[in-house]
Amino acid sequence: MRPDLRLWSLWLFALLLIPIGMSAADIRPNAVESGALVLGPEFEPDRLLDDDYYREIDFFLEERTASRGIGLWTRAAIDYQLFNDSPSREVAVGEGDWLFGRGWIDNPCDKIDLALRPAIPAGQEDAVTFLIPLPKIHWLADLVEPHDRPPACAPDARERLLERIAADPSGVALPTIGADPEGSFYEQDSHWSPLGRLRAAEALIDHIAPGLWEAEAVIPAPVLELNTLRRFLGYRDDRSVDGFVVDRGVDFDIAEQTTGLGLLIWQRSRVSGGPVIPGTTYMFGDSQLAFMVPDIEQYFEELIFIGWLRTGFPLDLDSLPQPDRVIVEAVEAAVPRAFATPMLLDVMERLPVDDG
Amino acid sequence: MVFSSITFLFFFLPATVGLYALATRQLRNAVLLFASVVFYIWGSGTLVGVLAVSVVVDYGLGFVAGRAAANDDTRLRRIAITLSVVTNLGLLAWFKYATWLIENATDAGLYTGSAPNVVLPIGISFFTFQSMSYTIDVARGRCEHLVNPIDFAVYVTLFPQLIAGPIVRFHEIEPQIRNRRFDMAQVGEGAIRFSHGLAKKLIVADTLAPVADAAFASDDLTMGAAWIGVLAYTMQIYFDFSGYSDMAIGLGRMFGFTIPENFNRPYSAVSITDFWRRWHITLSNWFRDYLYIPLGGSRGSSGAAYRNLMVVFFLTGLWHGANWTFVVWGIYHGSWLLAERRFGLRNLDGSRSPGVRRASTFLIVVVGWVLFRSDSLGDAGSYLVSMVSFDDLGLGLLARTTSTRAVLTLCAAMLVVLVPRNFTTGPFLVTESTRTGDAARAVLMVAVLPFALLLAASGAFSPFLYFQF
Repeated sequence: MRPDLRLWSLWLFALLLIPIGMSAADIRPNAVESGALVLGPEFEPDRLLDDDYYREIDFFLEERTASRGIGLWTRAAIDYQLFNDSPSREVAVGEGDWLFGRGWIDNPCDKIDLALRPAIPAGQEDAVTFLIPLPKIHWLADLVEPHDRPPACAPDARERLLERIAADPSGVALPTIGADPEGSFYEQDSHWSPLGRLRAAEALIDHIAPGLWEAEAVIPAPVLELNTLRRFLGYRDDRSVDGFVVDRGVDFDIAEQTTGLGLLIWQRSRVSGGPVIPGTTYMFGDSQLAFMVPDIEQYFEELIFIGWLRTGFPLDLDSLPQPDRVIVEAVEAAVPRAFATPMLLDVMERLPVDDG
Repeated sequence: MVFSSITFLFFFLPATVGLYALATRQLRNAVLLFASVVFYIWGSGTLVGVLAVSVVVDYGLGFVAGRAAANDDTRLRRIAITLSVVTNLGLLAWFKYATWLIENATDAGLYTGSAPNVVLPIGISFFTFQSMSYTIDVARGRCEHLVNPIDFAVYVTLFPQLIAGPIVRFHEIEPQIRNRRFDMAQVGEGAIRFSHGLAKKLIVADTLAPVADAAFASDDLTMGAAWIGVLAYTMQIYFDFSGYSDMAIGLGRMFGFTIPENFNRPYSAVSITDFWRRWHITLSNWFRDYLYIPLGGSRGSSGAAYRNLMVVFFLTGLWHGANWTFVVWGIYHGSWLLAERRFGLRNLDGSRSPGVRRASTFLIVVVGWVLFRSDSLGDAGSYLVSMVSFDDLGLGLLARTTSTRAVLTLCAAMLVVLVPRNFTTGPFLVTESTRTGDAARAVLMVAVLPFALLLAASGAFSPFLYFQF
């Protein structure tokens, strides 16, 4: 009998018992997921032959096992740092190691078409605002190129949009977010930090209603912000950053709201009293505008946010009121992809870049 | 419960081995039976009843078969075997094939009702075959029947090979069921073998799975994507299934069993005949012992031998699933075997043009996997057309899911094609007593195993492919 075989058996079981040992010692990394940890199922004798019961236990053990955080971190570190790959289909590694949501598109075309349909034919071109954080424009092509491009949207909508931008590029609102991209964005995550979001929100409100923004309504509040895409990659990141809440003291009501994976999917809110941007405003976007909605919702008489990359939009779009203005998030790869990238990117490249 | 899950690795396995080590010799089978039932219920719930029916019926028939063998009573022997076959194939027919048969009958206009919504018990194709094997072996006088019901239940339900094999014929394991050793050296052998299989599954097979899945789900495949996809699947299914078999053999070893080998470097085969002596060996052996030889085997006329061969491969295909793709895959392989036999091309010793033979055999097998993996014959046809369409050699949409790690993994996995025909890593890792063997074990256990466990801990694994069969 070779002694090494016995040693390897002890080694295997020592490794297998590490997670239990860590749990017993209450050593557990901070949560790597954004949501609350699942609760373990109660002991229910009448469910002992129910395979769903065991699935619940599996899920509980999977999430609570102490080594899960290390496992996720290892997986992400090897895939991302060593191979420059993302281990998650939701995340793509872009230029300069920045991380992007790949934007698994349901079918945003109909929603974009809806956004443009009432505004452009009615001669309300100024009612369409494209929110474009400048540092991201130049990465879009690099991000999009290795991946597939879904078919362009309805040709009418696309043509109207391109004509609109080509006719007067300077008319498109470009909120400047300062010359401090590291402060405005996370270190690698391509999402706004709370500071960047605040700057963009102020610029957006200033563009639509100059003088309406109330700096004093912004109340500093430290928040625990997980970089969204790093979290998808499995990185642990529990740094606390400076955040804020907005309280204008107006009567404010969120009529309806749907969220998923911690992200706003759609919301309809209304403000009565106080100086607001009148009428109905539509916002179409994904994670950038979804995170910004709480910062600006108190400035709009009626605000309808629609997350266009998400499925399961709960309402018949045609039943919603006609918009008085539309805000389109133009930061995601989805927009140039949906509108046939070369021409739109060309126009974007010619837009003035404000580094200040 | 799957072997690569957190529940199994970090809770079930240590607890079961611990209990087993503490149990007295008389209680060890009871511990294994308890663990196996928990293991099965964990994934199948009330469908454990189907497993119980198979166990109870064949345990009872074992007494009948034993008496028939002792008295050389041919009639009683036939009764026992017939009842076992009818019961087990009946379970298989209902739970695995009823819906498919009725859907086919409906499509053909022979039936107008709705198809039953039958849930497939995990591993039914494996445990029914083992159960039948017991009654047949006892009836043939090859083994004594088991008196202790726990002993028999352990044979059928032994969790290491319960849901995806290897299929252990009763005569191969009978002495071990009754009496076996338990020592740390065996546990060590099992640990190494199990770790090897876990690494194959988690590091190779699961990395290639998204590539294969994306290719076979695509409606618009380029030629390059089609080949990358099927090669990814070729390697995925081998590393997945042989990895599972390694884990099963390793787990069995921990409890003192010697479970037969299921793979022997199949992608180094020099003919399709050779391939089937190296791929899913225990299934081939089962069909040979209990179907091919009773049908007459290769005795008699050439026509009868060819017929027997095609019957076996038709059923081998059907055994894998209720879909015409599996049937055609079985006939495809059977036809190649028939051709090799007819034209004297079996070349089992690899002496003639080994490089060309290995390459051509591998190509035939790869094409066969398209049939095996596709959802329908139409899909398989479209996929095969993509493989020979020279319009676009690029990866197309597949580029999105083909990560650098997947590409490197595929390249590394493809090296198995080049490995010498007689070298098998699993047994080498356990038995090799040279410094090379020691070094290989150290790398596996100190570097590869912890990485595999961390992958498992992250929860990002996919179920084993062979559960569905």
